[in-house]
Amino acid sequence: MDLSLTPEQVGLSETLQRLLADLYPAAVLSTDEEPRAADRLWAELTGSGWLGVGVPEELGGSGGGAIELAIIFRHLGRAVAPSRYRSAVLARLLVRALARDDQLSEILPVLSAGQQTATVAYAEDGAENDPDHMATVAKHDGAGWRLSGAKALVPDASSADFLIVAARAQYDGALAFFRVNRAAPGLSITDRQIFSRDPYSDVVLSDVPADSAARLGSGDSTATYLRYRDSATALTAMEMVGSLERVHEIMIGHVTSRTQFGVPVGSFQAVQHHAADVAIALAGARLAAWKAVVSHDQGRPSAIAKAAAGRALRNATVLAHQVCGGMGYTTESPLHRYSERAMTYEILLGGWDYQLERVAVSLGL
Amino acid sequence: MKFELSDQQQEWQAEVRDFLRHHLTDAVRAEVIAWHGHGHGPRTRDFYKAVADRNWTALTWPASCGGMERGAIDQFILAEEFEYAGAPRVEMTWTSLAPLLIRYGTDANRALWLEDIRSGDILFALGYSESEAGTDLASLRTTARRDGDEWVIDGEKTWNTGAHFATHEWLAVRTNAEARRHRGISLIVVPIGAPGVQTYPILTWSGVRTSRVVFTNVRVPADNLVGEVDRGWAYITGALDFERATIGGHVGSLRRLVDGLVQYAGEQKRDGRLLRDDPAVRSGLAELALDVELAGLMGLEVADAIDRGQIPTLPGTVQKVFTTELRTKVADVGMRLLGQTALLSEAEPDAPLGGFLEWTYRWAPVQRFGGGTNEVMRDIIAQRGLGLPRAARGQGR
Ligand SMILES: Cc1cc2nc3c(=O)[nH]c(=O)nc-3n(C[C@H](O)[C@H](O)[C@H](O)COP(=O)(O)OP(=O)(O)OC[C@H]3O[C@@H](n4cnc5c(N)ncnc54)[C@H](O)[C@@H]3O)c2cc1C
Repeated sequence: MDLSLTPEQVGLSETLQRLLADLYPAAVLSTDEEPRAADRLWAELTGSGWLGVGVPEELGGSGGGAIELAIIFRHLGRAVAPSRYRSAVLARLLVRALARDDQLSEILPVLSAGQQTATVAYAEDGAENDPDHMATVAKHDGAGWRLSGAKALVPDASSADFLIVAARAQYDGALAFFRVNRAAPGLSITDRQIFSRDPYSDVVLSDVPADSAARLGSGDSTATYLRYRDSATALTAMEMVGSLERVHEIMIGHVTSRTQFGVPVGSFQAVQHHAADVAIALAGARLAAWKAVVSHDQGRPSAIAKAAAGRALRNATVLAHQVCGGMGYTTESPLHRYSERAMTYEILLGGWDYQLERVAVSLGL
Repeated sequence: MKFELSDQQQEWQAEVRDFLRHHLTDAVRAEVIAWHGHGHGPRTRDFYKAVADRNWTALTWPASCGGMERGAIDQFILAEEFEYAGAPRVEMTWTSLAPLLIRYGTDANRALWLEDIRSGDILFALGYSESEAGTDLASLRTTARRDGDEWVIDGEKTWNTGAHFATHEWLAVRTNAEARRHRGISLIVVPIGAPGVQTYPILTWSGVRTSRVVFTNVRVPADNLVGEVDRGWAYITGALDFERATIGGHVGSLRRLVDGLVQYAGEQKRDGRLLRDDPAVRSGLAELALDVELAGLMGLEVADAIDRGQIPTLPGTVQKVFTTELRTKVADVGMRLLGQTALLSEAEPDAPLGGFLEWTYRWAPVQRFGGGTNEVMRDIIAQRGLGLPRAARGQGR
């Protein structure tokens, strides 16, 4: 197994780590400063080509591929950075997977340069994972399409310039994706408060017009979508691994410095076993996430990676709270932000049971 | 131990339920959620007044102290019903601190506070922890020095929950600098409005506010010292045995969560079918119900032991660990079974289970490390309960 990164990849990793430490340090989390820090970070990420990572230069990107993106997601996870970059990159991956060449050359450079951002509007109340149950419909009315339906908890919808909306095409029932402007008539966005601080919105579409050029790709896009979803799932697992690494560090840091009974609490065996359990789970989750990022197989690698990362991260945050006691429970401690992310990302793109089912399918069951 | 409630206990349960039907309006429930440990809103105060009018604040106290002389199982039933229904909580001042005053307090202590506790006019904030004295509580450094007819208190407490709305501090202080650790500690009651008491907020993940409280040259009458001087450690650990039993005893809210999840699973669809038709949801919910049943039985066993005159150290400790870890599990499994909609914050009116599920996920950690951390609880079970030797490494306890 060769996970060794090239010198360029190591450089990318170090640059981003420094950048995050400068612009989005743990000290700003849950303070009044946080929104401003988020804006500064976003300005840097859009202004310096970070949104173009994973897109070839001839399409307006900065080059690099899955490994470079994985490095970035891992650092964003470590820093519990805002979801905006993640949402934009996932939308771009979907565009890249679906779009025809003429659409690609129009849209990708704009997205890669950060001139516009997009987000994926897929999940619905009652149809989170499985495309078969999608209820949003696209009717063809001669001139173009009209979309109607309701999307639940779309990430960063309020700040995106356009949404990639999944719908069932009337007549042939194909799963189709449309590029819809945020300001399109008939589209309404309601911001929701969720378990983590990330901005999510419900989106209702009532007869929203979309011309033929707005449909990304053609025919039934189920297979393409599922391939995209594998990549999104693998990157999410990597982001969770980044969070997991940081939670483990917070835990170790606290039990090394906190003393009770005249000794560091990390000298108690019960506490050591908690720290060791997190290390064991992290070792597995990290390997599985890298494997999913570099693998060309469908289904199984990303399912294993996301399930393992989700379980490890949720358990790590619970144990970290346990060993950090009162000090880890205040809003001044960054820990709760990781705990919120742990459950949020566990559920998005399908949780433990859903991923296990995908593993079962891979076994031929 | 009987697994079914006696006729008398069933009548009591019906009486409590009837009370809740009348007094626990939706408005009170909503206020409990909105205020989450930020104090008692006006409706909650009215509710508590109705509780006090029935003398349920003094349910287990002896008649000589104005109490109803009921057993621990009746107290357990009351707490369970309140919790299941989402009522304001049964205050620890009534159930664990007042009994301590009755048992160990001086006549003057009882005359000073019991009646006002019973009427709901006195509420204590528990001031044990300090920044350097968490699990190692006996290392606490806040002092009380005798000066004529008064005690003079100096120091700083942290995690002092309720300090900004309670009437009095129930403080653990060092009264004897010479004595070794546990031996020089006393309990003392300090009116929160006393000159020299300053409260600073600490905000937590659950939204519950707690406080850091600084005591500078605070003077209270000599009679405010609880029981005998330097005997505080025995009182604290005695009360903790009971508090642990009650921390663990919050099974009513777990039953509410499981029932809420079951109802939701019968109404909500995901990926084309009702949640309740998904085998993973079925086995997940069944396992939660099973564990909640075990926790309820453990709670009943603890109450039964108390009614038999035993100190429930071991079953109380077992139950504390089991039930607090179950709380994490119920919230974790519950949120995952519901999927995306579980992420809606309690601030959203359509959050499933009124947001109680996601709030429980945020609240659960405190229960595991509060009231004696589960690591230390496991040591107690192994060493005091099972008679295993202490760890060889010097752990100073
Ligand atoms: C929201 C909230 C409300 C609270 N309310 C109150 C209140 O009203 N009044 C009050 O007095 N306190 C209150 N507390 C404090 C609470 O009781 C303490 O957090 C608890 O006692 C643990 O202490 P600590 O946080 O200092 O953790 P530490 O004691 O620093 O423990 C850290 C870790 O070390 C482990 N550890 C420590 N010693 C040992 C050992 N000997 N063997 C094995 N493991 C060990 C612990 O198990 C834990 O995992 C509250 C806390 C919170 C967060």
